Amino acid sequence: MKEYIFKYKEYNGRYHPIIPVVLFTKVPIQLDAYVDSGASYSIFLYQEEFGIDLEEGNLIYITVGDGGSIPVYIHKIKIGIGEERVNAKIGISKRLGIGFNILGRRDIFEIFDVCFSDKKKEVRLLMEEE
Amino acid sequence: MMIKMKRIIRNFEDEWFSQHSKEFSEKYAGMYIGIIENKVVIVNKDFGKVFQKVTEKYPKKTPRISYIPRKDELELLI
Repeated sequence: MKEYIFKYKEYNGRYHPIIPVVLFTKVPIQLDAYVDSGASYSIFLYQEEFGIDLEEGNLIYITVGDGGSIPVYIHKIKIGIGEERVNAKIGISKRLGIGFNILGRRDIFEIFDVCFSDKKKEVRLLMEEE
Repeated sequence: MMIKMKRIIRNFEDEWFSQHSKEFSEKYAGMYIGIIENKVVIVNKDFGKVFQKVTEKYPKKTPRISYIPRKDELELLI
């Protein structure tokens, strides 16, 4: 069993389960993502520098906090969390409405058991070793 | 009896980031920061400018580009 421990980030007096995730796009880049067990998909804000053709992905619409829906293109992208490399279905959107990215359940929570500890202010990702 | 071992993996660069997150929030809300080896090397509102600087200056590293959220953005999640 492997357990990755990521400490919460303190923004505006509150603690948030934000972790670094490497996106293996044209140039590998490490971005922050908010671990959100309530999100079906991971969604990253589109950046031209990813070097991907956004509209090549499958278009879906996702309902966001204000009740509206945003277009999201689903791409299969290799991502890195700790030592792990995962080919995950990731939603990319130009209209996320917030500057940070979301790490949701699809392909991620199927690999890791995700435990939030607000008491210890950390999120733990557990997986079986092969 | 079989004993299951658990390997705990900590990310010390991320722990450094967590320790400084409050300070980043106070200084850089709404901005992207480029980080290489626990050093903030660029701060800008434009992701592209941060990306360009960190990839040109440190082509062999995998840089971290962190967006520091504003208070109103985090409230959307609450």
